[in-house]
Amino acid sequence: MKYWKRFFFSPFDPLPLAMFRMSLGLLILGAYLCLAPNWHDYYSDTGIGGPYIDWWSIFYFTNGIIPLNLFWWMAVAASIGFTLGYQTRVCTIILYILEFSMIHSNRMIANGEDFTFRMLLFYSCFTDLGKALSLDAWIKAKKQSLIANDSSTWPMAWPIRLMQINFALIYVISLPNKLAYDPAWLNGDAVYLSIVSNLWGRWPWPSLFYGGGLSQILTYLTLLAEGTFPVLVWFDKTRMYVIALVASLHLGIAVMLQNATFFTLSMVATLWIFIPGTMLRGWMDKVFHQGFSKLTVEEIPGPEIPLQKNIQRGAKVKPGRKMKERRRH
Amino acid sequence: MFWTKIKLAAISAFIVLNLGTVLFMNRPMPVVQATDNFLSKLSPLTAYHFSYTGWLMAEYAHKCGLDNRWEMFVRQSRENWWFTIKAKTDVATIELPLPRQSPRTFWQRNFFDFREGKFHLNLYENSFLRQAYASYLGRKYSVPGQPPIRSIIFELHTQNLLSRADAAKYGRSTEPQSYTQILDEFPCSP
Repeated sequence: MKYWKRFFFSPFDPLPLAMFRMSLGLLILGAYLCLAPNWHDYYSDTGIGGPYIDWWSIFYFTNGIIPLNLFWWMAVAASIGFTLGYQTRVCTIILYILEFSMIHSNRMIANGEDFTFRMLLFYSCFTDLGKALSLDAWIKAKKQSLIANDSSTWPMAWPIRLMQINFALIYVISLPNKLAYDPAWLNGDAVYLSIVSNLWGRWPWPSLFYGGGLSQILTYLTLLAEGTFPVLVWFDKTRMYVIALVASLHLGIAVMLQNATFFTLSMVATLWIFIPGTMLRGWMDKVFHQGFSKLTVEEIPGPEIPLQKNIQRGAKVKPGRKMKERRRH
Repeated sequence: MFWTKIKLAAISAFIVLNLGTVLFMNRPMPVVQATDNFLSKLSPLTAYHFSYTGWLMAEYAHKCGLDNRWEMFVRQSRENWWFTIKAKTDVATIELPLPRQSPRTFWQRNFFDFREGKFHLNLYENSFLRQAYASYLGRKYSVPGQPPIRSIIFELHTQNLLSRADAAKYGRSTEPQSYTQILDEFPCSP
């Protein structure tokens, strides 16, 4: 019970969430911009899906009342708002509703990124992704004279933990299926078959994968990444190695394969939520010289450290409490 | 304190529900078969209660968006395949100017057509979807003053992939010959 509480109910550093929000927001915006020419053909009742729209879709209820193009503009506006962190929660909910409406309106056009976006946005509805590096945080800090890094305002971890676990489960689920259903994953042909496929492959030099061991090496590295990530990402010592391995895997897919770019980049974007806030603050200090690590290391909990104890120990948290008291008065 | 405990308990239940739903929706086929065998041995009423619970979980997954089966490139195709989609009129049979079968601009090829691959994969697996798509194409490409479209034809072309050793030996990844078959011909209403 103690570990359950510590894992799910301690506050979560908003900086990795901000990086995740901005990366995901840009991807969603890119996906909507790429959808623009086909939006009507894909989702209207006279389009590819025909009149058989699932009722669990906002397009179904507003058919003939609200023009479909308005939803595209809403999606673009919400993506920009989400990326900048303006009215973040509202934008998250709008994007989630639009995402599941798109899937339910025309499932035959749904791509991998739709399912990933939908899952991530569903959990994001339960948290505030706009606590750091956002217009919301900037406006709030300006209004209430709060310090940006006040850890007493950090969001609860449980929606992020759900996202993390669900993300790890993608590999837990997919790996045994790979090994059970296609021998190409065991004999090292899988990457070769993807590269030379006219549906997936876009690598201009497929002959590199014909003979030799490149296909085998990359196939086994894929299995290694998928097999180790769900376990080793939870340990401090191994976390960054498996994150780097999985990021390389998905960036490799983005470069070498077509028709899966947004999906595979959405997987990379999600990796931000696994990076400890302390480490991220250190990186950002080096890059921007902005003092992102105003709070000391002891006061910023990693995923395994319960924050409540640290709040009691930490001296820098006091201004936040004072602010609360001041607000009460 | 009491309400905090209630809140934490409710959130904990929600966490278990969501993770349980994801696992339920992605349970492997042997588990599905074992469950079906187990249910067939129970009394009809008990089996109904179990099935109903499963249905409720599937409905929850469907409504909140956790119903996807996560299979990233699980099965690799041993052949290249592509459709040629044609419209048949009283006068001629013409190849429609669609993505993946007509010249595309840089922007279309690299950005706007990003769903076409998966779309064709879905069409490949499902005749009903091909019929719905044929109906849409019949509507879209019917032009007043032109001969009406009588039917939409789905031609499937396949070309076997060579093994890696053969690909290295011959310097190419596909067999030289491809095979063509008419998969469906869907009549279009005038």
